[in-house]
Amino acid sequence: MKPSRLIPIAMGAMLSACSTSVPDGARTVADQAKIYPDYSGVTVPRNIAPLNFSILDDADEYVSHIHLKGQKGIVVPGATVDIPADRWSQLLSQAEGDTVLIDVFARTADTWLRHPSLKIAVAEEIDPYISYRQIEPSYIGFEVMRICQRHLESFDEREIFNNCSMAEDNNGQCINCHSYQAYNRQGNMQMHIRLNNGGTLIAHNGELKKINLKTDQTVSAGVYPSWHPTLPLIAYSNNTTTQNFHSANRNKVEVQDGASDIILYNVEKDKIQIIANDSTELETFPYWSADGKSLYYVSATVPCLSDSMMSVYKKSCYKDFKYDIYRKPFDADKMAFGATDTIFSASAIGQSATFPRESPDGRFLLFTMGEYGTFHIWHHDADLYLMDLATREVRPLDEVNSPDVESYHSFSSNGRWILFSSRRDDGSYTRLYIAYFDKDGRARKPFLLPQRDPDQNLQLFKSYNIPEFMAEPVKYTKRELMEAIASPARQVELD
Amino acid sequence: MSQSDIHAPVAAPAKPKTRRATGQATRPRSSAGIIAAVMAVFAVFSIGILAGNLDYVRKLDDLNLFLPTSAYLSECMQVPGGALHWAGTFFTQFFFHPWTGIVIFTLLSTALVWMVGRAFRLPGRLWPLAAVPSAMLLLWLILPGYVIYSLKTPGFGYSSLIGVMAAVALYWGYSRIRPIGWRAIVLVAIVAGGYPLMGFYALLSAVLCMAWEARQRQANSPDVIDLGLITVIAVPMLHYLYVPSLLMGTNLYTSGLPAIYAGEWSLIWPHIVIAVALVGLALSNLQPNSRVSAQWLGISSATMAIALVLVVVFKMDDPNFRATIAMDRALQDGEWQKAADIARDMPAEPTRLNVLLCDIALMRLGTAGDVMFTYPIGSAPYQSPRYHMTMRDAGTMMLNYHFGRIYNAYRWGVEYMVEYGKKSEYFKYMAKTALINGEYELARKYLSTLAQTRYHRQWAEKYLAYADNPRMVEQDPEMRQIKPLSYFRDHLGGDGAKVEGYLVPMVAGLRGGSPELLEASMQCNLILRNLDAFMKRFLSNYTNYDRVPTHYQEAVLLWSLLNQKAAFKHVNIDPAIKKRFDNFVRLNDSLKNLPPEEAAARCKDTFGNTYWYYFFYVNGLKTL
Repeated sequence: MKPSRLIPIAMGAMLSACSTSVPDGARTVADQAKIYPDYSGVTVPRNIAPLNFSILDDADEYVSHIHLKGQKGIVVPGATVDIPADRWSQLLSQAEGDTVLIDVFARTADTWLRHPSLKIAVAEEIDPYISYRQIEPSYIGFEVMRICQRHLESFDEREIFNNCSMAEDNNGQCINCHSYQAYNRQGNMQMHIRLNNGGTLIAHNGELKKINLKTDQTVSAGVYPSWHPTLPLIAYSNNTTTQNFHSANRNKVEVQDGASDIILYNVEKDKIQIIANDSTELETFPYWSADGKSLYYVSATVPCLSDSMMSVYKKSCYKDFKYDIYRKPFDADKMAFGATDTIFSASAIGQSATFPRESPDGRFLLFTMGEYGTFHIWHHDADLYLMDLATREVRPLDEVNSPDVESYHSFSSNGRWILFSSRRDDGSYTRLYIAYFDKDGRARKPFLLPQRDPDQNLQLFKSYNIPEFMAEPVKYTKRELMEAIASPARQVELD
Repeated sequence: MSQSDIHAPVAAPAKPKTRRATGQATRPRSSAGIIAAVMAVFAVFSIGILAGNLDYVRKLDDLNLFLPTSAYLSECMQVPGGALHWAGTFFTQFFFHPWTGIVIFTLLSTALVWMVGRAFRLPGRLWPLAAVPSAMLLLWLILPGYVIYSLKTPGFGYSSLIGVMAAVALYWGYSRIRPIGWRAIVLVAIVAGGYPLMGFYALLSAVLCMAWEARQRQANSPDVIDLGLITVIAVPMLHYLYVPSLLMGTNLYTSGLPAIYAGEWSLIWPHIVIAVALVGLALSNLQPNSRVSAQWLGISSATMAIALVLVVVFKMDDPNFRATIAMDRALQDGEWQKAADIARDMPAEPTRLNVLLCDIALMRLGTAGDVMFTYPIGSAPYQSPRYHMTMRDAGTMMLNYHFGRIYNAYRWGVEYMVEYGKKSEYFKYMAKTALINGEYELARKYLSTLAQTRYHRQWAEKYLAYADNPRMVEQDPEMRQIKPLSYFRDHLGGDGAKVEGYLVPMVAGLRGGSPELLEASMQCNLILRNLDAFMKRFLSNYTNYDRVPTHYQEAVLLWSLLNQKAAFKHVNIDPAIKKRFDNFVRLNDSLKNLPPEEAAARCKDTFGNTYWYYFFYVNGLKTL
């Protein structure tokens, strides 16, 4: 990796302003140029930020020509290819359904070489924003964590909130599980605050409030959330979670539930009702269907044990925790759930499924599956799987999966893009990838979330956590959020 | 003598050449000699003090990481005072070559002496006072001791020095502005513009300016002071509420200061002295040509001398701390014998950390079985205000690595990085553990970052080659010894944040495995006095020795006696060791009616270097 990017980027900008041209008489070579990130053969939305990249091959000089076939395009000098945003945007706006070509030229001594074109297909638009939490792939300790929102059409990243503002020296704060209703179109969102000023922050119809979801009848406060697509309802899991560490296993960390249930929170009434709380089942990761008429979740069967025995069981039999996917119909008028339908029995094939997510058109179910357990980001074998809900056929999403972990995922509002977390780069630091997903359920090669500095992901020692699409950004100010977090938490009641 | 003796302005100039065209007063020539002497004395003192701390300043670089990237700069600037952290880590990296770092630190801190003298317009005879802040900053650099492992202030030694320099420089500029209107604007700019960069030190600068303003007694001075107070109070608050940053609400007015916990007065007081000294100088409203009697030279010199004496008295001189960082350095450099020699030459009872570091060195030398109980053993308390976390913060990662607990070593690298920030030492251990585990891309991530540094590039490039060619891991002299220690069955659990209390029993409890692991297990069982467990492992292994190590022979004899068994008949015991054992048994029997301390004292001279002495008489060792 090269040292500071400031100088080459600045020089690149200056040189591009001086109209670098495509070298004449370059000799074509067979090997494709090695670039980072690997954007060759990917499909991108027509409103994505520039795919800046670094050329990894050794040479004395570089020129990259980004263009549509037969058109002039953009010429950028230097090993760090910093594509002018406005010209990129102009190029892509004409390119939906077409292919952008990137020709990389490299000069060694007096000879220019031309590598085969890198091809980037351009498809439909993507939601303009995503949000995520940045946190180290740590074990127990935490220090600085931020929930951020990123404008996908540019490189603009803004902080929604961080855990330092209201922390005290020996009384820290954890923030997590940011979640939005209907892609935040109405600004309805929630996030948890743990420890100092703890509670769950709810933003609904322009009002911010903090609630306490823990009751005497539930094992914990609300944990993993899922907003109903239209109604003022949030399904939560309640989890008692512990961590244990492997002494000699690359999976390193096991995050396990000792108990978990599912509840439904009514945002307007501050009441909860229990959806599932079988003591021999670990129900978790609720997620509403696209039409809001069903609730998916996963559950694993466990023996009924005391707390101390469960602690021993979790450590010695951790591979026995295998989750299946279930679904309950929901009657919004009666606010009641029907009988449970088994959607996918991963345990029957010796596997464990988590994060069921229905596509916006209701045709497919995307989920994560690995050999065991619930917290798949630490399991190197975990991959994305797709179920055709009409036929119930399941297949691995091979177009997208890598030899390392793929885990948390979200569909864009138009259902054409999947945003997912992956540790394919180095096995430890979670990065965000975006893949095109067509209406027939085929995905295409994913691309790494573009950054202004293409080496940013190599230099960042944080993971991206819980990536979610948003149609609108979060507009609450830091001060508004702080005031809400500092307010006393309203206690919810069991309905 | 009255204040008027100091502040009496010179009479209307009889000699025009002593007054500059601007109307500013000048110093008499004799002051130049005093100034030069003060700076020279301080510089020599600084070099002398730091010369006795070469290992320590080198350690400061280990616990530092400066990256010449925009990303790192942006990261630093996430809190007010971040520019000082950036500059602090930049300068700290030069301690990689201790003498280079010492010279740079001395130059800057001596420059501060000069800045203070000029900024506060000290008459020549008061110039020794200018050395007080620099002396306290020198003390601050070498005061923290073990706390350097847990101090959440990147480049702490330089960040404070540069912060004070910036505060003094801004004060200097402010105090030279004549129009009061401009001074009001500059005062606001110092706080508004300086706070995001310097945090507390911008506020300190503003306080100095206001103190000076108070002595000017101009008609509008009170208004300027009021404006300054409002700005000092309001700017941090506004920054906190409206600027995206990682500023904590409890740190509004102290951001940029070293992250010292409340109650750690042993670490706080030098900063208080600095602030009081500077404010006092600002309030004194001196002029360079103020008439100062010769007596004041004596007083100010004595003040300087006291400050320097305080440096000598309060600098961290704990022999255990010195040994820890020296042994750590030796272990990192693969100089096992040097580490063992340091342990042997310790003038005081060692801490548990130092005992374990010594054990590691002996294990790497392959002599632990012969000599580990001949080295000093103890559990001296850690001389640190954060003593309860010292063993964990100073040793967990290193000890886990050397005991073969590779995953746990990596875990603590990440935990430290999260809590204390990025340091080159953490990255090195995380890279090495990743290489041993076969996680080559992960190793590359840490190594590529280190390769961007000025002084760790070579180290990083060496190990980057390992990521490209994993066979080199098998051939590396250190990794070749560590890797076999990691061949044990996976176990899901944790270490409970313990160090020795986790490692030694864990390794002692292992059965079988590589020969290296078996050796380590036997040695850990000896430490724990588990003779039965030792014997089980030893008897499965003893035929592999050409000569059974001394302590193993001692343990076999002891076990046989305690169990009234004759197992030693199967083991080749040195007749001299047997004879010695018989003598020990006789002496031990004769002492059994004495208090344990007296019995131990009587035994020590003759048998203090045996396992038997350790088994019976080394008790009450406290560890984490």
